[in-house]
Amino acid sequence: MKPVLVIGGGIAGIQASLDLADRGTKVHLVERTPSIGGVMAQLDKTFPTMDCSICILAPKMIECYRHPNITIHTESEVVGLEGSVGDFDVKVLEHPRSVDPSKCTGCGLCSEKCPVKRPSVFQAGLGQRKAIYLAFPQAVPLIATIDRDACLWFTKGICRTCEKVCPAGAVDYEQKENTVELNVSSVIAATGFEQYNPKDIGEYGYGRYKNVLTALEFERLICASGPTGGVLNRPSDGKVSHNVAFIQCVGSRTQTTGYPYCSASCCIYATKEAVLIKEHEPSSHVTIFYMDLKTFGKGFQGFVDRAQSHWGVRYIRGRPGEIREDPVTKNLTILYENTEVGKVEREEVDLVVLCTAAVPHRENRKLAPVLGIALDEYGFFEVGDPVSAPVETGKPGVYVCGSCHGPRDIPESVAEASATAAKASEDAARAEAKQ
Amino acid sequence: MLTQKKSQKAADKVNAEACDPCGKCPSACPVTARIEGFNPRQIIAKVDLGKEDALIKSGVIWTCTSCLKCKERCPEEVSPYEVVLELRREAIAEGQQHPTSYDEAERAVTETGVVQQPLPVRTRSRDRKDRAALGLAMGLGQEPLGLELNQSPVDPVLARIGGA
Repeated sequence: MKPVLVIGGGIAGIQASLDLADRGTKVHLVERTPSIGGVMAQLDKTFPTMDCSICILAPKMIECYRHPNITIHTESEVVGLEGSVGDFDVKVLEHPRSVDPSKCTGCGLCSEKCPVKRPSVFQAGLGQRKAIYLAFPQAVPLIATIDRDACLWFTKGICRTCEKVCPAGAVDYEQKENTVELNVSSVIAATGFEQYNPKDIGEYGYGRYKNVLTALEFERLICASGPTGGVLNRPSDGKVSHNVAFIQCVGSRTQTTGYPYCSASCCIYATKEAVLIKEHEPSSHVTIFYMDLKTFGKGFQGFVDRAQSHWGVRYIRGRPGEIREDPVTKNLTILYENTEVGKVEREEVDLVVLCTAAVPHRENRKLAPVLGIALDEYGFFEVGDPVSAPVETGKPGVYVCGSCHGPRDIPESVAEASATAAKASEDAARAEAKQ
Repeated sequence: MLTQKKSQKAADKVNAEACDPCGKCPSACPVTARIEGFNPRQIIAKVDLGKEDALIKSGVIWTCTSCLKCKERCPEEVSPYEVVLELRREAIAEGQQHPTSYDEAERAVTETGVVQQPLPVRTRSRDRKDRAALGLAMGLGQEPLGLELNQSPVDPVLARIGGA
């Protein structure tokens, strides 16, 4: 049976690959970054059950790696797609890792000795990584990679320390780009989303005020594998934050700076993060500034009710108009109107978390013409029909799942991934019958 | 839907029904923070309900400093500032109450030709000079520059400015 191409190694891509592979279909999983896992690997807990995110994801990642039917192409991009359903010719460009995957054991000695530091993407910029690095401790495949833009050997022609310390002799500076040509029966795009950068919303001071974080940054900060080991040391002075405010709808539900749609998961992940703070330190003071609490999922409303009644999380209806920073203490004052009583008030907090919009991945604009599918007005992939064909695109044999075609939470992405897997295996069986 | 004919103008200026009542404008407004009763969000809500008369009569519209912060911060492109401006025009056109400083400014322009009152002229050696002797414009209460005065009691000039 012909293989299926899955683009994107997040939870949706992993689920689709596993579903297909378990049915006996070969899968090529193409991931742009050095490791599969996606955004879910960066999360601390999942809502509403407060289960450890990586504990659910890591077994799936390992299963992907070990499955005889799945081939993982990391640091790769899809650059060409020709043909029609049942017979697609795909070109996959594999970027050089500069490390021999067959030799590297993932011991991490190279990154220990590497002298170059760069902000870590996995830690959402809060922590640092080296020029040769493992994406994160649970990375799959557990193989080091060299960032050629940072490495001293590639930029200045000096160093080569990693080569000297590597006990396996896996470092290979001569690796070249490699194009793989595949023949597949169908394509599943699961490229995921990005976080909106709230720099444009000047009144919240993101980028100017050190103690204003985005939700993903906060998720790393409170995570046990994060840069502070789960202690809420705020960025400006390392003080443990006991007074935290969340601001909803930053960059979403707006006609001016941002996107007009609702990002679907912010209300509930803010509640989750608020409860996490309370679990760490029950005397903490947590406030959530919201416009409308959209708790549509199973068990979500109960979760919010429990956060209010049991944990004492404060919910205030009102979008803050401004955040001001105390130049000495670096505390933040939030100016807001409690719209339930129509009173303008201020609140001084240690840390502000902006729950930013989920926006289309910038790679969508590059990938859509390659796959020959349409983008909507924001840059999400367009589906055939949201009711009768929710995972199909305008091109037969190309399917989309997860948050690459609109903001989604994890359960919804997983359900869609299984749906696309069913569609893709149908195509594979049909192509088999034709031969 | 709006029923009162008079509301149409202000409501047309902005899409008041697009307002989410999120509370971003009052929390940014420098007037709301200091003066009780002025709340841009509530002004939009009242205009949407067609309660313009009450707004004009209450006189809150005259406290807006027209700093435009509400317009800048609004996520839905509703501009409370423009609503306030429209309500002011309506109030002036109908001869409703308005601040006396408006009359003074209008009188200054019509009588002397300048908005801001001319200051006394002093030399470097602190000698006071007579403005008239220097051939400069005079302030209120002083000799005017021979402009035609419009003394009608309803202030048609102001009404025209207001209706513009």
